[in-house]
Amino acid sequence: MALALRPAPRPRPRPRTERSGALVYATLVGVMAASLFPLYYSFVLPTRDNSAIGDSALTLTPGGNLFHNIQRVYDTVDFWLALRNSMIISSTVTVCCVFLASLAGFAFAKLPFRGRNALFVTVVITAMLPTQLGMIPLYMLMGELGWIATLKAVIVPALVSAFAVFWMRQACDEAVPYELVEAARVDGCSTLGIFWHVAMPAVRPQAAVLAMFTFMATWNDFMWPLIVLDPSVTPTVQTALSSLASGYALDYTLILSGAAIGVLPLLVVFLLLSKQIVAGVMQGAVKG
Amino acid sequence: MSVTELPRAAEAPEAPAARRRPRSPWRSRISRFDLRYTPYLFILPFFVIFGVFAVYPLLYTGWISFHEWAIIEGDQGWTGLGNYQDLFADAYFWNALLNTGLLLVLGTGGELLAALWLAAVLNRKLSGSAFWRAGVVLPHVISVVAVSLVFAQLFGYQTGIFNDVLELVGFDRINWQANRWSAIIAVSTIIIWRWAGYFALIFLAAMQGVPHELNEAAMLDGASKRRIFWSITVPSIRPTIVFCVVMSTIIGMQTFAEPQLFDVQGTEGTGGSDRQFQTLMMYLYEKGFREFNAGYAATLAWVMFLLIAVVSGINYALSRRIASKD
Amino acid sequence: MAAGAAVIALTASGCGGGSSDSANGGTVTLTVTTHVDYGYRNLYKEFEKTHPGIKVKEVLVEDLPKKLVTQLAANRGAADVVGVGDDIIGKFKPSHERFLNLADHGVNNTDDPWVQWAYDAGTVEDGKFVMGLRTDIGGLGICYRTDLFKKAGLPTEPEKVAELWPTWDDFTATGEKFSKKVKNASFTANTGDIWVGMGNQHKETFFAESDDSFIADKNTELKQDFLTAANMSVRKVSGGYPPFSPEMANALKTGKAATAVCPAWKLDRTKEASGPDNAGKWSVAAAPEGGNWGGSYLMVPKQTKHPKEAVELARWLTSSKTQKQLFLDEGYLSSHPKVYNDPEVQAKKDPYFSNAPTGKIFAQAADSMEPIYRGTKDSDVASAFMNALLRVEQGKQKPEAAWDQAIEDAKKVAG
Repeated sequence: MALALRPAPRPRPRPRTERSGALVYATLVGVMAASLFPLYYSFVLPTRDNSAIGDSALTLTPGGNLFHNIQRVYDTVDFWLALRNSMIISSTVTVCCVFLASLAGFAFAKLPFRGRNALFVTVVITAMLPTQLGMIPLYMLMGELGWIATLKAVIVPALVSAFAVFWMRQACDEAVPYELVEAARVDGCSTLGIFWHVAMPAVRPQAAVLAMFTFMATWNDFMWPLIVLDPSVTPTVQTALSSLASGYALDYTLILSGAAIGVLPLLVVFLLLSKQIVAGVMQGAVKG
Repeated sequence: MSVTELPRAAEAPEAPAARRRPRSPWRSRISRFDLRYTPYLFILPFFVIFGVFAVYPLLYTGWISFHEWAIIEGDQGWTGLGNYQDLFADAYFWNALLNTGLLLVLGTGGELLAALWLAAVLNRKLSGSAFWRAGVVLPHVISVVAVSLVFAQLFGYQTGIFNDVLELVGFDRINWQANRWSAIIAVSTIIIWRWAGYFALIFLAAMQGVPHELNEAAMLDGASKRRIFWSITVPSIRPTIVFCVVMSTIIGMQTFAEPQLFDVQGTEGTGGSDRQFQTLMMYLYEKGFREFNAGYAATLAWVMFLLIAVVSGINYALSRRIASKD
Repeated sequence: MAAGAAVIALTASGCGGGSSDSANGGTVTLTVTTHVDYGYRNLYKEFEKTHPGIKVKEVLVEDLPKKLVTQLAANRGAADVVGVGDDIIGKFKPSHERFLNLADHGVNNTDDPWVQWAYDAGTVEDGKFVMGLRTDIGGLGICYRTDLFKKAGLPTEPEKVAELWPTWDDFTATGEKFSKKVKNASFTANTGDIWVGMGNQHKETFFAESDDSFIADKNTELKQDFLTAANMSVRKVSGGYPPFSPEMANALKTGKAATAVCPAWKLDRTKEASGPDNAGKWSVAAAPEGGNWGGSYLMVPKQTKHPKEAVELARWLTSSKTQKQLFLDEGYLSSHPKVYNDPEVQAKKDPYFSNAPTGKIFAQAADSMEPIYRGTKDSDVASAFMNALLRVEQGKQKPEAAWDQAIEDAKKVAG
């Protein structure tokens, strides 16, 4: 099978490398400046009034309008509801997607069954489908199910992802040794037990990375929620932001205020999961 | 039997079972059931949900591609391969394919190299590593609206900062949107900026698993850091590199947001005055949602799918070979 | 009052929500989705007050046409009243059966009439099928910087300024005069906006009224317009700041462009972009050759569960009484002659724009309009011409060559 990837050396706790010099930090600061700039900008511009977008140099110094503009965001759209919905959608999707992908990934990597390779190729191929164009049939399907304008319509199709299965299969392949699976079976562990007690701890860092990316992608997903949800009943952060952007006169400070407060929960989730990734690697998930 | 494909995993459970306490027939039946069918149960949720909510709509789209199909009114009659013939005779399609290819080389290629480099930097011992990691992925999470406003100010012809700098060092101002090469460079920059951190984190997760003894041994042999990186670190994370190459190819073939937000005409735009940076996905959007020509857009979607499969396959083979070279 | 209280009570008890409970005396909730903010927010409250038992909820959606086509295709999920721009309503005309024929619900153009061309453009089947009700119209004016005009030795009074440019060619000539005196500013922001403004001054543009066939290649008036607009780039009258871009906002604010095409709804945008510091530096004059840019239609999708109430709301929102209030409060120009000829409306002046008589300027433009025919593929071919102007602006093509390519490009789409 051409697509079956060879297992790599499995992770082990890493001893300290040599300390990084000033040059490394200087580089990082440069990269950081480029990365942070638009975020900084979307915090700074809302502190001013709308005409700041027209200033010839980028506006870099804060003004005094931030809270006023954030207040306007909450006055214009139901941003609390949007935040709540986005939290529900993103966390449900993340938990389910990572769990289901781990199950399937583990099966593809470590369990023998008939048709395994063919089925895995199917997964890889499905990852290549441009899902954009499935939108209208999918919308009709949601209509049949009566799910239009409900959060289900966004959550359920996102519960699984071919990328995620691909990713977790790779993770299991690398991080879960066959011997460990066999040993656990000898100890009388069921397949589910092996998955839960052996595989999952071993792939925790990779699962955390996947969780992070899934959460980000779901949080930022825009096209499908816009189409299938009702922005007045079930807004998400992204559709609420797009409502802000729908005036005759584009209200830049309003849009950017929304963008700025919309990204905060994402940063929190990131920092939480980032710890998890490091911890996972450091404690050496695979014993023995 | 069903387990012939992977002999070493398949033989294992039976042999040691004898050494253990005898099982009740009931237990062993469960165990046999478990061994044979649980794998299917594990992959079942994926296939059921994916089948209903992704494959079915896409097959339906395939069906649409054989028809004249208006987005609202639906079926206007069977055309067989008519849409496909039209598409292959459509100069805009080839133009979009060229642009997508250029962006794939410059943007996607650039983003992966930048990601490798970033990951190597982040893999060093750093104080405040969580902060740096959060930092590199920020470009990916910030709202596209904010990004588009910032880049409009950077790449603006008459007021853009990049042009101010060019002028300062004695060059002419560049109308970034006007020509293919400048537009592709600009859009590639946005792509690299948005995605490098994303892939860097994936590489980083893999690099953290590379045993350090390897590096130390090489260092004792007097190998340079650069050589260690290319001949030890990179081959060690080869599966991850292959994964990222395939994944970024699939994403790159569907590039939409970055060139779209670079277009001063927004979603009304065609990717430049001469479609000089219109990608396949942008053309698909134009056909489907601006001209309401669902039949044609569906055709484009299916051709894209085939192209993605071919290009990903090639990149898969290439990256396997390159990454394994010492 | 009592009715109002009943409404609140019913809503609180969970009867709201837009399902089909109008029959048993519950509250009907109507949703309205418009492609941009139509400035209706305060009007809904008034409607609710005068129509007990109906609640109105507005949903703003970016890129509405995309969402709307999906909803129409699936036959569910559309709002009770939808608003789309006059430039795109043509795209929905082949699917007019998906909307209510408002003529069946008592709509005509005799009681409380709209200006005829605006009403006609919302109908199909020779006026027998009324698909959409006209909201505002744009009118057409030119915003100009009085400080820069003074510098160039040009007059600054709206009437005098309008006399500078009876035609678009005069507009270009004025621009060249301007450029000789003022070096660090362009006369006008871009040619795309001018082209759009011009395009709305003819009976037919891209497609023939008789059979919807593509006629842009034979339309000499249209070609003349195009060359006039494109030549503004060649003769350096236009600054090439792309329409609706931050660069254009920048040009307006920093005085890099002395004029911009201004329909009524764009005044607010210009004001926002230029900022409070520039108050009083701007003014508005009539545009060369009159005309209109913009305006929208309210339509009622057939899938609505409350056809009667939805039609009532659409009619109320587009009535002359409501539109007058909308102009006075929000500055949206009415599509009812009765309103824009109203002395109170005509007397409106805008202090930000040097107290220019905006009410009068826009009313004149609207009144001089001829009905325009918009083909079903109008919005599809439009981008070919915008791109052509952009190519001239970018120095990639000469106007004639750009026109030829535009025609070729448009033909591909027009089929």
